[in-house]
Amino acid sequence: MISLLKTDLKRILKDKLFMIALIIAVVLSCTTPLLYKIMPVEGMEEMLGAFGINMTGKSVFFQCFSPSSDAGLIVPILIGIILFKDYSYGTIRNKIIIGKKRSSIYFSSFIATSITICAIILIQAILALLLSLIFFNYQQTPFTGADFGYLMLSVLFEILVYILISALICFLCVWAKNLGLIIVGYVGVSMLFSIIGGVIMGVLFVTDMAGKEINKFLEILSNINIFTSNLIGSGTTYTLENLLYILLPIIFGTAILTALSIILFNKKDIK
Amino acid sequence: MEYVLRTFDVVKKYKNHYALNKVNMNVQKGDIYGFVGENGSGKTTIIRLICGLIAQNEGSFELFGVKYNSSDIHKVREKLGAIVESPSIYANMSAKDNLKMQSVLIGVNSEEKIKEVLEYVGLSELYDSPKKAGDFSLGMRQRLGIAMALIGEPEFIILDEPMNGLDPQGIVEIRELILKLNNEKGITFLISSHILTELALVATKYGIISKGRIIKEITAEELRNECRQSTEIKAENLRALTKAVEGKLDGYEITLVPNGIKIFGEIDLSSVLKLIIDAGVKITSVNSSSFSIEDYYLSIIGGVKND
Repeated sequence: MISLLKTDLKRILKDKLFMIALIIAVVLSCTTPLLYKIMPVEGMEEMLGAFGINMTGKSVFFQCFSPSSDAGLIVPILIGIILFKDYSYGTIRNKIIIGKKRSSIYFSSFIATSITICAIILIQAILALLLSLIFFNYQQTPFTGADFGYLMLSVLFEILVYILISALICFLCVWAKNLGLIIVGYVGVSMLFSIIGGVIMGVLFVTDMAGKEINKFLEILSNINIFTSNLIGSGTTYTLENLLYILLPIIFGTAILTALSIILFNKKDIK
Repeated sequence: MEYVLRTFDVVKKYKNHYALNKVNMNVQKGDIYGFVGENGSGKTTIIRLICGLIAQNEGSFELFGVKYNSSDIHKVREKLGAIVESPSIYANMSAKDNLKMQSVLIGVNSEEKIKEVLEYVGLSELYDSPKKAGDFSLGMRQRLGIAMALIGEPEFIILDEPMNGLDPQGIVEIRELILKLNNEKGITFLISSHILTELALVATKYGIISKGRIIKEITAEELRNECRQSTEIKAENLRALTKAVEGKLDGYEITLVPNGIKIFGEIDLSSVLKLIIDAGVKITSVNSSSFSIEDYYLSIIGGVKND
């Protein structure tokens, strides 16, 4: 397993696409705080506030983490392309021929993908935070020890979100017969969840039917949708309800995708 | 007898099509097993199966005496090296990096070993070369694939159509490499090809497969005998016939066949027949045959030679 993980990490790091993903992430990390800075349109702060977005370092940091951000869409795809090369080059055969278990091969690629995607997104978010701290404060209130704990916990949750995304990418690599399907698959899932999330938020915003049963249901749907949910990093503490909304879809999603991937991979005829 | 590979009634079905239909084959330690069959006969399917890339629907196989579904099968696969269809190499990496990846995977991370295998396959000039494997010629890729298989010091190497697409020089090089590895390191080979004559210079045993079935397993010596020019003479009295030729055909290999004898090699047929007739033996039939390896293969699979 360790040898598999070493080779998977090595081939990802040696691939040009990894460097491209890193460059894109660095460039994108600069755009969000700079856009906030160079477009201080009057009333914009209030307008963003209505959507739960504040011109603070904290807000920028967690926006950069979001799976619906540009990096959240591009980085997993690029890492997925590198991952799929094991199938397209046929090098996955080398691992099976010398007796590596298929489940170990899968877990190794899953861990390598998670590490790489999380590292790039984390670098992007930290750079964005550092840059935004030049222009704005971290938050509107003074930074305390409790804020630090909250920040660390939020980063952990975001990492878990990207582990779920890595599981999705690995599932697509096992399931898809070609690269196009992986790209279309990931963009499709990402868009679908974003659209559903957007529509739900729109409905909730326009109808303002707070308290009604249907609205409660839509709110839950919105909260468990990792592509649009802004529960992570948006407050100062986590309620038990919020923790459930954050963790349950991640744990169930990752478990289901991993189980499906291993079943598929064990049955798959390797070309 | 020590077997490296044995298959027992292996069946692989794709919907209603039988890719393999009760395949039984035996590869002994030290063999260079030539696996011959027309395109689509099931050669690659059985190779994939042995390598663990696909699973059979029925039957079983043993690798180094370990059953395919045993928990030890992963362990014995460490003694296996294979190139299935085309060498599995990272096109975006150099030869050295490809070998490094394979050595990390196997757990023999040594620069010396990499140097040694590159030298062995005649690619030592690539040790320090940044040239990407994607830019290699087919022959170089084939040799790099063998080098990757050699990194783990395998006891059994499977090569699927290794001569495909190679120029005559490349074919000779790969052939010499196979013989060298078999002679010097005692590595057992299973080499598939759709051209029997291509394997004739290296194989010690052949398995002929057609339409998913092994039609014949034959040793190289048996094949040579089958393909030699021979004359079969049958007579009413076998004892008289053998007496007539006894001591008169020195230097020729003669074997008994039902009601007659078979003389191998080129003979002066008229003088041999005169000798027999003069001895008062009544000949019932005379049959001369001269099979080339190709003729033999076609006769086995029931095909027709296109001249």
